[in-house]
Amino acid sequence: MTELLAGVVVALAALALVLEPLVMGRPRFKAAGGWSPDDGDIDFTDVEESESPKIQALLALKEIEFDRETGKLSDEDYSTMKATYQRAALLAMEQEETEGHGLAV
Amino acid sequence: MTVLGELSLWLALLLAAWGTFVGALGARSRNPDLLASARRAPYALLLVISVASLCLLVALLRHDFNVQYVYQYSSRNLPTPYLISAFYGGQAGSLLFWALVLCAFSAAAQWLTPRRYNHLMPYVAAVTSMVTLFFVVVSLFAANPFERLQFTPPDGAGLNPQLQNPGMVFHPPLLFFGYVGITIPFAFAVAALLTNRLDTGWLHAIRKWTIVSWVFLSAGITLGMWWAYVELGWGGYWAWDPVENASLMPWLTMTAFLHSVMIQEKRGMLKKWNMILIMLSFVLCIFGTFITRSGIVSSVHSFAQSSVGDYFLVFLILLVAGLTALVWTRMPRLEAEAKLESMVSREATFLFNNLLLVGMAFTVLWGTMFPVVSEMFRGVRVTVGPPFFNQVNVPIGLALLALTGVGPLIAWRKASPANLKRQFVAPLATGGGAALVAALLGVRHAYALLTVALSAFVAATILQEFLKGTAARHRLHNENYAVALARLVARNRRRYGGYIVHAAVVIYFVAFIGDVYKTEREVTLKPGETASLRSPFGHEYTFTHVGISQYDQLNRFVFAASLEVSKSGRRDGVMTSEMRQYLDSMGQPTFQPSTEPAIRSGLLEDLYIVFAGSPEGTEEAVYRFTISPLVWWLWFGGVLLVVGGVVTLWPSSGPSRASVRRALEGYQTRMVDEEPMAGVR
Repeated sequence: MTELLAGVVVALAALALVLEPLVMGRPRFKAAGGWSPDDGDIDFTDVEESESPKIQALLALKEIEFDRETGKLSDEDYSTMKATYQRAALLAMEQEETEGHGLAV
Repeated sequence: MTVLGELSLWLALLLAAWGTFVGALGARSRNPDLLASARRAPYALLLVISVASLCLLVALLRHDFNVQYVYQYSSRNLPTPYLISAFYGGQAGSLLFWALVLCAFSAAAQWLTPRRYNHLMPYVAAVTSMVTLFFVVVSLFAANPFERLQFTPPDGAGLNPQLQNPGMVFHPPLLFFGYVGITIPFAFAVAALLTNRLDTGWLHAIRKWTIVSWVFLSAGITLGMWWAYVELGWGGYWAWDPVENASLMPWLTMTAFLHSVMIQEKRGMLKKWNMILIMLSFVLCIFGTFITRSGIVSSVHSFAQSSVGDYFLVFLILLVAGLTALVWTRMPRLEAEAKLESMVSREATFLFNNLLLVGMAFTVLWGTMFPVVSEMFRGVRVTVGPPFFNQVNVPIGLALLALTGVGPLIAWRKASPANLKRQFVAPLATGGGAALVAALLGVRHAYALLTVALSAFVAATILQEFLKGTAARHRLHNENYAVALARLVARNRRRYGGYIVHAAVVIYFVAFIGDVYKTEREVTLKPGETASLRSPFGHEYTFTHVGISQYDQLNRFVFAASLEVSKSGRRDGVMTSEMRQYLDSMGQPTFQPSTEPAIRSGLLEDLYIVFAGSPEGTEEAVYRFTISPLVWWLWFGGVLLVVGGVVTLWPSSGPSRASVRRALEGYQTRMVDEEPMAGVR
């Protein structure tokens, strides 16, 4: 009998958890909707941010600078690649200024 | 407690079905109430499956032998830690445990995933609920842990003696965490396909989950090797047994994914390949469970043959068919954004590494399933053993080891010959030097020499990466060397944590060399008689049989054979190996006697002694002596691998807004000072 009662309590609790949004209309437990830590990472679901030419170029510039410093890229290759990515970054920044919407980084 | 347990399982069935259908329906109709309800299903499932698990644990701890599972896998005199591990020691309990871990991972995924991925989460909930639904169905209809007997036996049959080992308390849960953990990246992959959001977003969402499951799988496999070594008494740690292979296959494909995903993140390439790899990893987990549970291939580790296999087979077929259709319809959206610029680039080495890893996975799959395939086509069950697996996989493994060293030395996109030369000189010289030293020390085995050379090459690569990276930070940011090293690792945790894992892999390979030089001898000794065995390191062990003692211990009767050990003429203590006869609470034998080897572990070699038996009524003892070089390093490599994994997992290892802001500030300052470039105003 005790087990059955405990079973009923568990069932009610579980069903209340999943049915509450349908019955009450709006979720009351914030946790169930997902905890959202602001980890400060680039939002890669936001194509406007993650695929922004400015961010792509800046990340590539960081990468090739480190590769040059650790000897993986020659000075010649580095200069060529740096010029390409700097140009891309400057053009992107210029375009953002013209359009008046800089991405918040 | 079985009424509550069974009721909880039925509730879980209902909730898992609800989560599956409401998740899919809510995501399609974009109804926020349905979406919220679906995302709560994993929490509700965690609640009810926890209650069911608690009921089984209580039944085990209370010795409720009327419950068939409790009767089959425990006894009154079973020590408490093993009463708890009996929860996952048998078929039905382990399936419930699987469901419990899956619910915990699913709830954690819903709880911990940042809000920006909300568009994927209802589908993730639907997929994890669907997988839970499968395990609950199997638990209820094929392997119900709450099934009762017609009568109540006075004592249980007891837990298999080989499972009464500390390694078996921790090995299955770790392996399950690894297997189950793959469900989360798999769920995100399906969610990305269903929503057509195939940008790199989902890859970033699963990064931590992928590493978590990989680290657990690696730790579980290593702990399984340790258990086999200390418990099974054959002096080895890996026998290419189907159950071992079942855990290795998803590990190989996950390792491939962890590398190839970087190419997609950085270059937008290999989208189809990555999608297939993550699906393959999940399918191989289910397949591994199928071969372990169905009894279609014989293994020392597998569970008793049961109808569970039929359920797994149907699930596998549906899974493969569904996933193939889903990927096929999304193919146009999975086109690469860039092309491979050069075969001498980091991307190319990752590609080769992937081909080798997946090739090895299929080799292992082929060897594992060969008995079934041969029986199907030729009517004869032909088993392939370790020689086949070693012949094929050792060269592949060595090629992978070489790529572990080559990859980090080559730049992304393209590498010039001059830089390649500069990068490779020191590691190649180290590798060559190490091989020379090994040859001078008497190493003649070709694979052993090659492993020494490649291990030294990779170790030098890793060291060079740390040194050059630290020096680069020192120059670029004017930091002292200690700060530069700390920040180098802290700000590139994925890369440098990965290098620590590479170092662990090198240590594994060094330990594998020891297997080539393993020495064994089997002798029968009377008290006072001696036998000797020469170590590959040159010294000689002498063993003098002291005698056999017999005594009761916990839930067993022990025959202990003792030896005095001398190393190069110097006394080196007494070692005792046991033969154990496990008994029930009425003193009746429960299982066949099992051996407990005596192991003395050292940095150079392990001395491994097995008492294999004694002619009745005599003090004679049959011994098997084994000297296993370098085995200790395998366990050390396992620990280092977990450390590397934790470094990689440490929060916020992705490109952050702050890092881009710093780069932006740096370039803005520099660009003001520099000459204007062509094409830019």
